[in-house]
Amino acid sequence: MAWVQAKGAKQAAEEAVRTVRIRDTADEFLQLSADAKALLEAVQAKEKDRAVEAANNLVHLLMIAGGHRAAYLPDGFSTELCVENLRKVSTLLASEGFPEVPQKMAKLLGRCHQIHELLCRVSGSVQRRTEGAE
Amino acid sequence: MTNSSIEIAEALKLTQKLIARTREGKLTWEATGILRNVMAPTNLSRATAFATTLEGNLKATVSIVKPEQDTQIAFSFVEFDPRGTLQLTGVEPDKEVLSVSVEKDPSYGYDTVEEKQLAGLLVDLYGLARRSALKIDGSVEKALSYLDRIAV
Repeated sequence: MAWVQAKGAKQAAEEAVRTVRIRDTADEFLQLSADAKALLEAVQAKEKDRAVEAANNLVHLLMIAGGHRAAYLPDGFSTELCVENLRKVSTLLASEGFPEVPQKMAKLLGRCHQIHELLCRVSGSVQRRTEGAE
Repeated sequence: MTNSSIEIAEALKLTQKLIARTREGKLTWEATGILRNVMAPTNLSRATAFATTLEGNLKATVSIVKPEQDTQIAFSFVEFDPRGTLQLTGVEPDKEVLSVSVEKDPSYGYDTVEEKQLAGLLVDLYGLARRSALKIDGSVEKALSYLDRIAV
């Protein structure tokens, strides 16, 4: 009987830890999506230094978050692709500045919107799991 | 050109198998889209489109879209009338089953993991198809063997 109770307590403790980690993941990605919004705003305002700094910041935070939160991220979200695209944005902005060709500028803006949307979705998806767990 | 996720998924499956069968030597490719000179040998090394025929009336083509820029790679899969391509009465026109094109190295990255994967596979397929069409499959092996021989 004591063994059964101990097993139940252990499971409950594990579940509680899992719930906390999922909630932390949702919060972390909510912050990342806010950072992605800052990147988008800097690109829209054509503020190169601020945009490069925001992209670098996101690469740094996303690499850390993607590593230790991998188990809690939704299927279909690729941290690697997101990091790679942010690196490209940062590298091109730092080396060439904002593109003068409207189509290329539209592509850059489209990519920034996509990254922001993606991170919002990840945060929302993980958040829904915490609500389901309660 | 924007590819749908369905087209990308189908192209991925086809490309993977085409690469495998070409590597196994079970599929051969030929250069297409170059004007052949009847008076002199055609220089196939300048070709940028390669095709292979499957099951008699299915043709897969891999090509560089704008060779002078070398930034985009295309893959198409068509069903053709095996009776011929000349304008003969009763010959059905080609039916394009699938057509995708992806950038080799897009400035701001790929939209999806699948698109990135497809670009990598198409680059591999293009290289294999070119080697098959130019019949240079054995050249690397020959060079490696020679280098091993002269090492001793």
